Amino acid sequence: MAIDDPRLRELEEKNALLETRVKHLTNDLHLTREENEASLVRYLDIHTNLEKKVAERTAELARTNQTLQNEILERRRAETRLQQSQKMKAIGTLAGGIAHDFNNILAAIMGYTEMSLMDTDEASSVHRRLTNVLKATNRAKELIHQILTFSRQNDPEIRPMAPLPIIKETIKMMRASLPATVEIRQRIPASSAMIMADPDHIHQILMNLCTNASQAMAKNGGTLELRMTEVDFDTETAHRDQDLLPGKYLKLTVADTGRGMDRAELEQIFDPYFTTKQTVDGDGSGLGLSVVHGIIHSHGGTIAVNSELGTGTTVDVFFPIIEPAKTDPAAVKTPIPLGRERILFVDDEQALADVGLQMLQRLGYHVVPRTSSVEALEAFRAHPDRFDLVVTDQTMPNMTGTELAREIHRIRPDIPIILCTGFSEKFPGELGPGIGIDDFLFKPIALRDFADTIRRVLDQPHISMTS
Amino acid sequence: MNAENDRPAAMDAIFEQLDQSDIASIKGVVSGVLQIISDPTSTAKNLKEIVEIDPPLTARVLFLANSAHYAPRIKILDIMQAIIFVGFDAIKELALSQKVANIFQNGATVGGYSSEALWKHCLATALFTKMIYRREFRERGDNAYACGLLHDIGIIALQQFMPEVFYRILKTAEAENIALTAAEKAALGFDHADLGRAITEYWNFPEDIVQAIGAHHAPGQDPSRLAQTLFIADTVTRGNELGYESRPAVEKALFQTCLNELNINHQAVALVLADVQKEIANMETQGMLSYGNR
Repeated sequence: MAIDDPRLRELEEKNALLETRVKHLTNDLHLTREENEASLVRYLDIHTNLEKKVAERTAELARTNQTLQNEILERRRAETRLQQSQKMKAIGTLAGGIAHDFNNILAAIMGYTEMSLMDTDEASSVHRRLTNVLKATNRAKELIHQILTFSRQNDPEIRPMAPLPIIKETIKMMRASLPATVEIRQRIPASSAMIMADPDHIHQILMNLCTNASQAMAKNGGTLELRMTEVDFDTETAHRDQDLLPGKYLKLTVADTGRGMDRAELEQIFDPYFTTKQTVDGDGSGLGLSVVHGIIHSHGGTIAVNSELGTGTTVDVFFPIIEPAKTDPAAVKTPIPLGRERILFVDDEQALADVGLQMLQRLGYHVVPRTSSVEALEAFRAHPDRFDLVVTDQTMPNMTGTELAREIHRIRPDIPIILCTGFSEKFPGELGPGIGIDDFLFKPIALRDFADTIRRVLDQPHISMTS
Repeated sequence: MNAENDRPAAMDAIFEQLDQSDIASIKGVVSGVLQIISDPTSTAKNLKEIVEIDPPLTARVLFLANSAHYAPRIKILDIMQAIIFVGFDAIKELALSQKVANIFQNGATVGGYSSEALWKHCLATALFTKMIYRREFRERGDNAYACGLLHDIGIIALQQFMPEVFYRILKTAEAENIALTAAEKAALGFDHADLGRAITEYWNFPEDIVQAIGAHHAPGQDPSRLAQTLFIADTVTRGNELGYESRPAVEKALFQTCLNELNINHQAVALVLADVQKEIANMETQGMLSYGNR
């Protein structure tokens, strides 16, 4: 039964509209929820990507940071090295200064001792004792020379030399400084083999190697062995083993039974400032093997180190042997040459002026001593013809020896001049040509050197100076 | 299926110009977005890449994403931000509509027709189709939206590639009070629905879109749901001042058949239409109907 009521139809229409509206909203809501879920997945995806990027950047930063840390560490090491080398330089300068003064003291000791020796009977016990004083003085002179060599870093004087005496000398020195727990064994055959080297360097190398060896045995003691052998490398061996030119080599071996080194340490031993000792500030042993390495290679030689942890270390050093030169047959005892010429002797140190005066007088010369270059110049200017020779110190206040020489030559160009220098001063050859010096003497001056040089200069055919 | 062989020879003049035209310029972005729609696993990054490849489009999308319509909480500076703050689906629709809007520019006003009016109609059809899908079928309706935007691409092609012929057809249709499609068929042997099908098929767009566009004036034998929905949307929007043709030559019977087959009552049509009108009005106020990038 259909009821056709417009109000009912209107209500039905409204109802249908509302129902549709509800359906629409429900569906929309459902889809929106789905979409939101999908969005969430996408955001998570974006988030993951971002996190990945953050992780990547963090890792990159960590790497950069590590690099930086390494650089800082490297920088600190370099700073330590720089400080160390500055300290070494300061010590060198200080040592040089002390050595210079000490050298002058030695000159006086040597001079008086030599004169005393001449005054005493060779058979007497006093003579024997004085001879020992002179020997000790000579050793002191060597020591001073070493200190000055170290502080001056002078150019090496590479010349043909027989290393045997130096090696013996070094062993003697080492023996004194080694602890009682270290035994020294040496197999050094008598050899006249000659090598091209600076004696100071050979000494330095051996000291260094022996010091290392004894330090390696400091804790438990052991045996320090020194060997010297001659080896002949044929082409193959030379190249394979040591990268050397074929030929004859002098092989010096320093072996210890100390703590030894592991592979990692062995790889670093030629690095500057490497040490197996605990580095306590101020205990830096310095350049060590790096310098040894450099010296040996500059001599055309090489160095080989073998070591085993707990067993010991063996260092082999090779120097090319040169054909033995004819040994100088001179230098045998000839009487000390004397003379009666008039000498102007200048040294600003009273003690040295005194000893010089007495030495020259003993040699028979007439001496006018002066303790200042200005006074010496005045004395010369007053009577230029009264002198046959001028012997002057180099380092003096107001006027140096070379300046004095120039002034004296201005007055009398033909007067011969001998210049005395200490080790710490400039090498005479560095003073330049044409300075008008006839010869040089190195302080402390031995009596024989003094006598020989003076005689040689006075006896040479004199060439008039025109400068 | 070989599209070129099935194509009427009369379209040759249009296809000769197509590849070099402005219309072809939308192909890349549109097919990219369609691909994202069809792939449920697509990510925000995929969408971002498709939009950012087109700098003018990117600028336009960012401009609109920052407008009062979406009212983001922060200033959006790139597409990824837009996706996060405005929403993946909103940006997808924006990219699509703004790209398609590019080709609805210039052209003369003839009678009730202008390209501006046509664009408004396409947008309304897209919204209508989508809303039906969502509300009646409980489906996302992304393809439906794209389909609505593109359904009259044939008209744009006619207007651009043979403007004189097209304007003459418009006048004829008006003077004789016949449907535009009828006038087109009489003059060319094909109508803009045929042309739209041919173009989208040539571009390898999804088959359901191609067929729906081809059938949007006559969902004939065994029509797809998309084709029927599009037909309803096109019909309704044109009948309610959301179109270029104020006199829809609607076959009422066909329209009712489609509604019946889709099980859509007239209340639903009324509700959706009201929402579409509201949305279009809102977009008009926001200036979102002004064209493309220029």
